[in-house]
This record gives sequence, structure tokens and C-alpha cells, in this order.
Amino acid sequence: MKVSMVDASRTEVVKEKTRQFSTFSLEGRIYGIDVMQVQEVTKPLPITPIRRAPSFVKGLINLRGQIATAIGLRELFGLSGDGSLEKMTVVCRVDDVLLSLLVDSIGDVMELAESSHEPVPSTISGHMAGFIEGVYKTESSIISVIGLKKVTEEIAKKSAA
Amino acid sequence: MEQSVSDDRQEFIIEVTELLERAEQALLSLDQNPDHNPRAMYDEVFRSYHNIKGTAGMMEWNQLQHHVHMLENELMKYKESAQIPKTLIGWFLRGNDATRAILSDVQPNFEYTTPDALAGNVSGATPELVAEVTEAMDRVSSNLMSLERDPSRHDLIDSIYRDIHSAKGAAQLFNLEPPAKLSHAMEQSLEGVRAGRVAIDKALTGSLLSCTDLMQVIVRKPADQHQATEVDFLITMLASLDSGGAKVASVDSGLKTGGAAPVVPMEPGSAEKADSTIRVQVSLLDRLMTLMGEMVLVRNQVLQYSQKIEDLEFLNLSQKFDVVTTELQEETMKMRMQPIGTILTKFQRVVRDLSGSLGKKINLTLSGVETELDKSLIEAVKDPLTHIVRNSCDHGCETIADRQASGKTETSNIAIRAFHEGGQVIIEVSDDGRGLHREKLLKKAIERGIVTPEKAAVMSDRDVQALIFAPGFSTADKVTNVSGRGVGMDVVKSNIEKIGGLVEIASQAGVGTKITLKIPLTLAIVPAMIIRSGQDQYAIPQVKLVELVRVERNEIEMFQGKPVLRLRGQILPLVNLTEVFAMETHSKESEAINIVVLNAESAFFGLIVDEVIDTADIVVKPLANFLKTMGLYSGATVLGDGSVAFILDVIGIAQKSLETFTQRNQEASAVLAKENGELGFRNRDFIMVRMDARSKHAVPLSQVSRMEEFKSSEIEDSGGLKVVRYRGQLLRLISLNQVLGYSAQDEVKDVNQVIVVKSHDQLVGFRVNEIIDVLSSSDQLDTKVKDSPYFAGNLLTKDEVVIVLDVNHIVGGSEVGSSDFERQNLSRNNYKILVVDDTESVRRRVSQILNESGYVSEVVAGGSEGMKKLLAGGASFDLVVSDIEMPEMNGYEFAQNVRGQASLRDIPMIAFTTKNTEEDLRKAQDVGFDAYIEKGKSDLLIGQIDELLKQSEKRTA
Repeated sequence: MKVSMVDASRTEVVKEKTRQFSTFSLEGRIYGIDVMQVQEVTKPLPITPIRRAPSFVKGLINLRGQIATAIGLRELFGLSGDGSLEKMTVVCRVDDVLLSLLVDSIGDVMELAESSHEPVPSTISGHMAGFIEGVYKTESSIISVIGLKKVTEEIAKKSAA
Repeated sequence: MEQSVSDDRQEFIIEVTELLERAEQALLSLDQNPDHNPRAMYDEVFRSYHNIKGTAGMMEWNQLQHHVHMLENELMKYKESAQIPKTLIGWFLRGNDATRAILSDVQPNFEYTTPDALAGNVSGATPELVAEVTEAMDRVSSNLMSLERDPSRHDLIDSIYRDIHSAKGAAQLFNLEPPAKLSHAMEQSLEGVRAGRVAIDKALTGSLLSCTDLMQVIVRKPADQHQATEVDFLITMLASLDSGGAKVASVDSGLKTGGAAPVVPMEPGSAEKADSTIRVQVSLLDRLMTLMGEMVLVRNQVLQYSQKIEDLEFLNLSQKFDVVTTELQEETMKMRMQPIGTILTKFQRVVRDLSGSLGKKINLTLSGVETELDKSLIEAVKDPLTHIVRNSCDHGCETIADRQASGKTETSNIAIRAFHEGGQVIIEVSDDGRGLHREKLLKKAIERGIVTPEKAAVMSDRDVQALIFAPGFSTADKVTNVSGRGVGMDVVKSNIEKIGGLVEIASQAGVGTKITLKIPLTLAIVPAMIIRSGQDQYAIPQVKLVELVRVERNEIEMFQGKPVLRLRGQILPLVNLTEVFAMETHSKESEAINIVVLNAESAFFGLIVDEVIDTADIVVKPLANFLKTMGLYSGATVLGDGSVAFILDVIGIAQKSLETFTQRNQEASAVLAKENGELGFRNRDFIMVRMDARSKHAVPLSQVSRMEEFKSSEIEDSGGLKVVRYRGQLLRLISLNQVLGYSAQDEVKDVNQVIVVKSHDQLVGFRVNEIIDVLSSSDQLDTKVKDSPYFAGNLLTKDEVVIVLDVNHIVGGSEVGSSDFERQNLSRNNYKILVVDDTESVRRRVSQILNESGYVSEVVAGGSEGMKKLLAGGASFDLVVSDIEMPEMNGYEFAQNVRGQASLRDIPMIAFTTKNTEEDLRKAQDVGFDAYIEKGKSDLLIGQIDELLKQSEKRTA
């Protein structure tokens, strides 16, 4: 399913710039990651725990010989609910590092118009806002776009502590 | 189907003409309208040429094929940008005309040299050319230096000439004027040498060496104007050195012929050689290595799976798969292997230049240049090694004057030795320079705040020497332009450790320094030990592993709240891996404990793990940076079952867990040694012996040198003492039965068992009834009940009490004519010993042995020199150690000469030689040597010296 967005306030629909996002849900909310950063989507794989790492760093997984670090997004974002709800993983590549994000479920790839982009609403909590690049409005929902750089920075900060 | 050949050809010509037409159109479009779709136009030209070339090849029309190939080659240079310089479009158009001429069987009039290449505007040097010329110049440079050392080797001149000649050919082929010009001038000057007109002297060698350097630069940047003046300068220089007056002006003629007839001269037989090797991109090899790694993993998984399967066919296949994969892995690894000589030979040059600028004479010897290691590692060790060698030249080697003052040869020696050992490549850089001075190092370290004065006082020599690796440490009194900028050895160390290697230093003040690099063979696949802690499996690289120890829980002691293990007299700090990972421990109390002894930057510690599983070759997978910074993991790997395991960061764990412990480590050793009493019972092992008594006796293994058997006929009487000839000297035998009062006379036997013990650096034999066994005990020695001064105490084993003997007391107590042994203990630094040997390494070794044990020594290379020293220095020498086999004046003659001098009649002399027949021994005694020691048994030297000096003291007293 493709959701082409037409911003009501603007009339020139032709050749509008769009971005594609891989979407997934966590605690009923929809998040998106730029499709270019996503390598694949998999079912959870066996995890080797990382001792002394922050608890949201779940461990390492073997992705056909490549090693990815599994990140519990729910815990990182400080959301409610427990890890048993995390039924899928989104594998992304940031700076040559593979991250495997644990999420509840996978949504569609959406093509969203740049014009529907908005900065992070001020109502979102400070901690959470740090990971969100901005939001896109669709007819049915609001999609929060995750900045993976910010995620890795946060992990680095927490790991060093 | 029945087409005639000429028809075929006709059709081909039409096709080519069409293609040329299209190329022409595209070229013209590029010329007139360069912005209009240049990429498409460029591609059109390229495709046309390529097709013509291909078809010409099929038709076996060589001239045409070659011609178009040249055009295509030139075109390739602009592939990236698709921008053909305007000046070149005309050239391509003329090339097309020439193509048409060839098609009509007319000899074309076409200058292949492009105008731009002639003007030097083309960075046309392909990587292959650069590599070729660089290699050729490396060879030239190393051959020049060999020639400098041995001017008689005319074969080298030829080989130098050949290399320069091929470099010139290659440069001309690619129309690189400056390198062609320079190599031509080099060739010219060598022609003079070959013709015998010019002698190859230092000036010429120097100039030619500068030329090789410059060649390597300008082949990369042929158009650099800065270099151009230098090229001209060197050419003039070479010309002026050529006394035959061959003119350099003839360079141009060489260039012209080179343009049209690109013939690279080759040495005979090199054609086949060229066919047997190909150049491959390193990135391709890297990719191949990664894939190989993956394949090894798949293999491991298949093998693991095959253990659960009963299908014979599958088992058979997986076996084959295993064998082939292993072989494939080995071969793939070899592909990346390069001899370390590729970088070591460069140091000849470094040392030559440095010794010149430092005003020292330094001789560099290389060995093991053929030792191979992974290409990426060769690159990685290059800079650290350069630094070490420069350091050695600058700080290690003394000036000529200093060397003369300390009695050394004018020429300093640096030796680089590379060899394989235990899956690693060892590179040793040793010099015979001034060595490291403990006091000097400590002073600097204290000044720089690296250590506190209190700590400095208790540091071992090894730790003091390791200070040069501390960040911000530089021992040079002044900063020179060679080295000593305060950055250096710490960078060397960290760079080597980055690639999983180790750096060690051993130095002796006044004698020299040796720096040892231990480098893994390859980075991608490393041998590792797989261990388990709790539920987790971890890999530990074998290079960090010292040994595996399994002990009972009660053998682990607590020292200031930290667990330690006594391992062969050393205190080993222990780290529990479960504690490192803050996991719950649930091991049972009685369990035996597995300890993995690890080496973290020369600091040893034991890691307590739950299980040692296996060894495996693992493929190192990089970790995300945020995991590396935790300092616990250095990488990850996929195990045979497909699960992921971390590779432990041994150094990181040591730093984390031993932070406060490392400096306490030594103090702990000292304290515990003291707790054990003065007897040095740090070892837990004893030799148990049977005597004429009911209880068993034991001698601490730490004091036992050897166990021997002597025939009764070998035992002689010497002034009331029982002695045997043992390793070139007399060994005093003490009957324990007599000393301990068990029986007055030893049982008469054919073969007598003797424990050779070392006490106060002296060897003494304990005669016993029987040597029973080795006893290991961690128990404290019970010293409360001692019914003899010769007993150190009792040891309670499971079923009996063993009496432990006090070796020093027994040896001291039975010393003939001396009630108090201690009084005679020598203060060695009061004695000065002269060492005479014609072999440099022996001199160095002997003086090292002497210095280590506290004696002052001087070395000379021959008998007459020795005589001079002995006479000039008055009676300041107390003892002489001399070789026998020496040129000019041999050891016998030397001894006779010495004894011939009234003042030297009584000076103790030791023959230290490889000649070891009875006759040699007798002859040595005849000429006046007091003792005779074989070179293989240098450990006896000190004991013998002590003994002789003691006797001579007694005589004079």
C-alpha cells in the first residue's frame, strides 16, 4: 500500500519531493526509518547477551555471518509494556554498524511527501524527543521518524557510563 | 556459408568504417559542444574503439588491433570525467585517420605520443607502472648499498643497470618525461661504470641513491615543477661525476626512439616469470579473505551438524568439504603473505643515511628477510619498526669516540632478525649500544611524574625498562631531528598492540638493547581458546594466553581482600570473570577451579572461568564502537554452532580489574616471600629422598640444579673431600647421611644418586640413598619442631611427615676450614674481570653474565690486547676469562705469557672454550689455567669465578 500525501494547503501536487520510510509499531504508535538505512526485516534471532552493557542493548545476533547489535527500542524510549511484545526486528545500517531494532510489529513502506513533515511536537517528552527527527502526518496517523544517529549516540553515551 | 576470406574481410572493413564514423561524430560533438551529453558521446567513442579492437582480434589483424588498443588506452584515462581535453580530440581524430589507412593497407603516419603526455599534463602513470618503477628503484637502492660494502661484485652493477634500464623503458612507454630523463642519466652514468671509465665511489652511490628516491616521487607526479629542478640538479650532478664526460644532452634521442617502439628490455627468462605472476587489487584479496572467513564458519557449522547425522554419504561429503576448505583457507592466507624483507631492506638505507648524519658508524645486519606475514600487517609494522630502528641509531648506538672510550669497536651493530615462532612472527631489533640506564630512566620518569620516587625504588629492572613505553617519555638528553620528540615508543607500543601484537624490551647498560615485536601472522583468522563463564561462551586470543591451570579452591589465597594464586613462586593476581561481568556466582565450594593465565602488556593475571571448552580458529568480526569502548570486548565471532561469542579484551579487563592491583602486585610478592621465611620456600615443589632414617627428607626444588648419577669409580678424594668431575670442574659431594648423623659411611653402590644443589651460586652434590619422587605441597612449612640446625622444618602430607632440609645451612656447615660461610660471601662489584675472546657475541654474552651477577668486566678481542690491558692496568684485574681458539695469539700462548709475568703469576685464569677433550683440559691446566669451562655451560661461570676468587683471597689473606 502506498500512501501518497497531498498537502491541502498547497496546490502544486506535481513532482512533489517524497521520502520512503519503513514503518513499524511499538506500543500502538507508528514509527518510521528512512528506507535507505534499513537492510532487512527479520523475526527475532537467538541473542548473545552483552554483560555490563546498558539493559536496552540486548545482545548480538548472527545475521548470516554478519554480526548485529540488538537494541530494545521500547526500553530505550522508556515506553511501557515488556519485551515479550517484541515480535519483529528491523535491521539497519548506521556508519557501518548493524543494529537490529526490536519492535512489536512491522508496517508498510510508506512514501511520504516532504511537505507533510513537521518538527517534533513540543508535547513529546524530552527523552523521547531526542530520538525523533520529526513527524509526518498521514490521513490516518502520525508517523514519528527515528534518527538512527541519535540512537547510536545515546547508546555510546550510556555504554561509556 | 561458403563465404570467401576476402568477402569476410570486406564485410569487416565496412563494419569498422561504420564504427569509425560513429566515433568521429561523437568526438566532434565533444569538441564543439562539450556540455551536450558528454557521457553518452564518450561512451559511443569508447564502444566503437572497443568493438573494432575486438573484431580485429578475431580477424587476427594485429596491426589494427594494436593501433586501436593504443587509442582505447588513452581514452580510458578520461573515463571518470568523460571530459576529453580539446587538445586531445585532434589526436584521436588523427588516430581515426590512421585506422582508415591501416584498413586500406597503407602504412599510417601517426605519432602515438599524445601532445598532453609530452607536455607532462597527464597523470598517466598507471598504478602498475608506479609499482614497477618503485620496486625496480628499491632493488637498485639495496643493490647499490650492497655494492658499496663489496665493490667487487660486478654482478650487482649489471643488475642495477638492468633495473634502471627497465624503469627508463617503462617511463618512456608511458611518456613520462621527467622519470625517463632521470633514469636515462642514471643509465648513462652506470655505462661509465660498466665501461670501467668511472669508479663507483661514495659520491656516485649517494647521487644514484638520491636518484632512486626522486624516481619514486616523480613517477607518481611526473608534472610536478618542484621536482623538475631537482631532476635537473641530479642529472647535472651525475654528469659531473662521470669523468668520461658522456653528455647528458643525449637524453632526447632516447626519448624519441622510446615513443614509437615501446620495448621494455627484459632480462633473459623473465618472460616466463612475468607469466607466472599477476597483479591483483588488494581490495579484491581483502574481499576474498572475508569470504574465506565466512566459508570457514559454514564449514564449522556443517561439521557440527554432521555429528548429529548418521547419513554416511553426508558424513563423507562433509569430511571432504572440511579438507578442501582447510586447504583453501591456507592457500588464501598465503596469497596475502609477503616476505618481511620488503620493508626490512629499506632500513639499510635508513641506517646508512642516519649514521652519516649522526656521525656514527653503524652496521645493520638483517636476517630472516624471507619470513612471511600478512600484507596488512607488514604495512602496520613498518612505521613502528622504522621508529625503533631510528631510535636505536640515535639513542642506542654511541658515537665513535664514546665507543672507543668504553672499549668497543668503532662500528655499532644493529641486527634485525625476523622469524616464525608459535604462530607468530617475531621481529627483534637489537643493538650493541649503550643500553638503558636504570638510574637515568628512573630520574626522567620521576621528573615527568610517571612514577613516584617511592615506587621507583621497588621497581624491577624489567618494569623500569618498560617505562620507555610510557606516554610522554623520552630519554634523549636533547631533542634531535632523528628521534626524541617525546612521542614515540608509546605510539610504537599502541600501534603494535592494535594489531594484536606485543612489544618487549630487554636492555643492559653498556651492552645493548633488544626490542622484540611479536606479531600475529594474520588478522582475519586467529587461533583462540573458547571458555565458558555461566551460560556464556567467550573467545580469548591465543597470543594473550600463557597457560591453563586447574587448582583446588583452597589453593587460592586472599591477599588484601583480593584472590591470588601462588604459581611457581610467583604471586598471580586472580580475576573472576563472573565478577567482571557482575553475574551471580553459583559454583559449589569444593569445585576445582579453572584459571586461564593471561598476559596483558607483560602483566600476568589469572582469569577464573567456569570451563575451558576448546581451541578454535575464529574469524574476528568487528564490534560497534560503543561496545569496544566498554573495555571488555575486543571483537566478536561466530562459533561452530552459529551462536555469537565475544572475544575478550584481555588488556581492558586487566586495566579494569587490576587498577589498584598492578602496583600492589610486587609488594605482595615481597611480603609473601617474607612470610615464607628466609629460606626462599616460595616453591611448592620438593624432591623427596630416602636416607638411612625412617622419615623421608625433602629438598626444595627451587634449589635443585640437576639430579645426577655418578659411578663409584668417578668419585675421587681431594684433601678429605669427595669430589667428582662435573661439567669441566670439580663438584664437591656431601653425604647427607654423614652430615645429618644417620650413618658414618654411605652404602657402597655401583651407582650413586646425587642431587646437585645450588647454594650461594655454587654447585654442590648431595649424596642420598635414593631419589623417590617430587612432592607438591601448598602447605606452610611447620618450623616449630626442628631437631637439627640442618632442618628447615616439617611438611605434613596426608600420611606422613617429611623433613625439609636447609640446603644453605648444610652446604655452609660442611665447608672445609670455614666455620662461617657468610663471611666469605663475595662483594662482587669489588672485583674486575678481563674477558678475552675473538668473537664479538661471546664477549658480549660473557660480559653480560658477569655484569648481571655484579662483577665488573672489561672485554678485549685477543691475547696481545689482553696482555696490554693486564700490564697497563697494573694489577687492577682480579681474574681472567679467556677463549682458547683465537687468531694471532691463542689462549694457551696467552696463558703462558700471563704466567710469565711475575705480577700476574697468581691471577686466577679460567679457560672458557668449546674445546672439550681430556687433552684440551690437561693442556689448559699445564699452561696455567685454574679452571676450564665449556662455552655451552656458561651457567657455571659465575660459581667458578666466585670459587677461584675466594681461594685467591684466602691465599693473600
